[in-house]
Amino acid sequence: MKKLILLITVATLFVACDKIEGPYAVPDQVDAVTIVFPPLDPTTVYRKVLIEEYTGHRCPNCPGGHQQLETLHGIFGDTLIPVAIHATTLAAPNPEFPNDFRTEAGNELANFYSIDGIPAAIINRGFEAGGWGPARWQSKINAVDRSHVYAAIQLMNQYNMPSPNILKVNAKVTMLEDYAEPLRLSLFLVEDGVVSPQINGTEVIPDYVHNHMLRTAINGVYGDFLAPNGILEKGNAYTYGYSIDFNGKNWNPDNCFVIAILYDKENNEVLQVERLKVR
Amino acid sequence: MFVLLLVSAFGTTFAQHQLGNSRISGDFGFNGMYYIPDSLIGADKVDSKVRANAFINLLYSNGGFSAGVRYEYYQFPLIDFEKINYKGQGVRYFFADYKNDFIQVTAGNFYEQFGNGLSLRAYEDRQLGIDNSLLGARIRITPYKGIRITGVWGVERLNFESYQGRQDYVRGLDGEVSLGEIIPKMQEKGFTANIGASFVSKFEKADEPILVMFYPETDTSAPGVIATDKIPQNVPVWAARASFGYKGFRLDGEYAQKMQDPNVTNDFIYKKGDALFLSAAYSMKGFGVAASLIRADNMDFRTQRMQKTNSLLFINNIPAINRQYSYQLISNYSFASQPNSQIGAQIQINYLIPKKTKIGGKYGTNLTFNYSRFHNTDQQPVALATEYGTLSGTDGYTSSFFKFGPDLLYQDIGLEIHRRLTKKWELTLAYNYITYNLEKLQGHVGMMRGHLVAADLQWKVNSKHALRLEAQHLYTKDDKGSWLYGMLEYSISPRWFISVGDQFNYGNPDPTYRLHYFNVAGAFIWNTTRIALNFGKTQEGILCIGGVCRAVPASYGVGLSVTTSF
Repeated sequence: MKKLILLITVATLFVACDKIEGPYAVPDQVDAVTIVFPPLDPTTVYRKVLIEEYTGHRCPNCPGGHQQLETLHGIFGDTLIPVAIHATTLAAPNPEFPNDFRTEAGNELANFYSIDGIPAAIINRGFEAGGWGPARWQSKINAVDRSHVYAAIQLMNQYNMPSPNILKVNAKVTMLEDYAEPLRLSLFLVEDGVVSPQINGTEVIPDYVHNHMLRTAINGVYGDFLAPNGILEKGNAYTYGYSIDFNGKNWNPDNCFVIAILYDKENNEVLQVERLKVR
Repeated sequence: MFVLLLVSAFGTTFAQHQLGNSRISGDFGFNGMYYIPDSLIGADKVDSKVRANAFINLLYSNGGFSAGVRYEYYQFPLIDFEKINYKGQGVRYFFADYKNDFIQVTAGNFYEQFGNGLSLRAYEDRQLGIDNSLLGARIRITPYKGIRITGVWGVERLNFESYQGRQDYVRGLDGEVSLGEIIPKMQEKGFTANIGASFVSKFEKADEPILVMFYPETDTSAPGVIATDKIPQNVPVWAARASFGYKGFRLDGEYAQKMQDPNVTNDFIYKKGDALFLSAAYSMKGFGVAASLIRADNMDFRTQRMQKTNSLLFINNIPAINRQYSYQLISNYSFASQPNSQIGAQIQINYLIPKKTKIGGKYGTNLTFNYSRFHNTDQQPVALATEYGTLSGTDGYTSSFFKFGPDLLYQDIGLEIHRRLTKKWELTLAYNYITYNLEKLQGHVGMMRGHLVAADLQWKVNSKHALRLEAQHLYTKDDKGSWLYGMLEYSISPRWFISVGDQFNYGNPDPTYRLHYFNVAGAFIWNTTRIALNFGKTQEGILCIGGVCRAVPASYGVGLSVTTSF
């Protein structure tokens, strides 16, 4: 019995301890934010709304969705920020539609929201399996409570920094209200004016212009935690820097935008969203 | 009501089933409230106006075997519990246990404490909404009289969330030797001595890197990542303890050390944590003195590194050693134990002025003096932390062990006089000067410095009837300003009890909030059943029990509580 106890004790002590040698974490000098953001006037900040439209070039009804999105963009102006996510089988390429606009991030989000029929959209990441059809987009945008402006996002892009065709994205989030749940900041790159075939009903339009197309998620599909310790108090500010390489990509930097999405990690609600041209 | 009927039916049935050595017992509790909105005190309109917490415990025992189960119904809980997410229903506690003189084996949920709890304290406090029980197994053996070895393995309860898919668990080993039991002669001569040691380790899978932010220069920040292979999955705490007693003298001590545990509460630092608890007491007839000291640094020890909600998933407990009061007006200024940074001491002296003396009076007079003071620990950032502009992802700081940090957290100077005036009248008078760091302990701004004067007068009308009057005054210019409190309680033992009371925030800096918080309560007791009804207002604040606290939202309404055991 004594031997057994000794053996259990030694075994427990041996397996139950991890010794980690430093360095534990090192700052990423490439992504350090070295620029100074202009002062923020909180009274000029309003809450913007994100619409993530799921679409595909082989989807016959999607041009109707694009049309509805442009109409809404006209109504809500820059307070509505669209992202067109090419996903589902109707976005897959074939000889007639040779380009593949699907992205890893887009596929994962479509999977998360169980998107199967398109066109569909998710507004401010309110969860509904399958998303909402174009007829409901406007009412869903109207339903967003804009009386609370929780945070402001400032974006500053530096193209060809530090080397040619490298985009340095600088983001600063300033809390305008206390917030109890952890937040994440997610950055997308989208492109306007991509010319590529699209079906419309039964007709194929060879030189269709695709806008707001999601090209990549700059800091992972779900972004980064805003504050590691999760304490989000009014007045706190957080800066983030990320680099993205345009070399070898067929993205036109003159047509690209960075979209910054600040959302609640628990319920996915988007609290603020901002958009800035790459250059 | 349905549950009540069900319970009484169960109670009756089980009470009739006591065969041979078998015994079935249990208890039941119901705590419900009807909420009335009151915007002035901040009692918001609640979705469901009638809410209740309810549970039933059933215990079967037969000789060395026992088994138990508890069903909890918190589907629409009191708003205090909803606020801490203690919401749901189901059987969240069940166990089977067998013990004889040599071994005790428990399977299922269990509570356990090693020593003073610096390394492990799995416990339940229903009022606070804490249930840190472990679901797993425990073995305790007594190889020789006076020697106990305990081993535990389990997954810690997280409110009503499922255990499935959990990637964290706790295991621990504790040994205790009681010299008094091994050497009976020691005990006969009035000596007691115990030594013990424990080792507790948590495992939590690290499957996601942790992002940290560095601020190397002004207006400059850079993200960094703690990779998963740099996150310790096994975090151990070891502790050693000893206690010694001789007649009226007793000395206790325990020291614990925690290995690298970067977590959200310590800003992801890799510094080792440690805690020291020392306590000495001496008592003789008419005189007693007790002093204790605590130092805890980086000792917040939980099963999940990203958990920071107060009291959730704690494995250990750093005790609060300050004197605990029941005075209503300072309950919002109770010291909450700070496992990551506290150093302090408490001393209490009791003296009985002998009876039948000029000062002591006919029955004698009890004097109690106490003083306690707590600071944060001394923390000097390591060179790398200064260079990075953050403690995160570094060894954090160094700390001089017995040096007090710059922030005063809590101080209490108190004097209490208790005297029996006549056969029927008793009086307690108390004065306290409290300094309470609102910023560090509640996240508000500034310090609260307040003088509390309290009086408690009891009149035993006859052998069954008694009247008690409590009056308190808290004078302060800080926080919500000064308060007055009065309470009158009449009891007819052993069955009835009624009380009326009021708290008045007459010194609130904003005249709109100079509000009354009245309360009317009554209770009826019959054998092991207690039924209590109350109506009144509760101010927003905190509730602390033994240094563990939770927020209390403002409320107004009618409450009903029923407890019974069978």
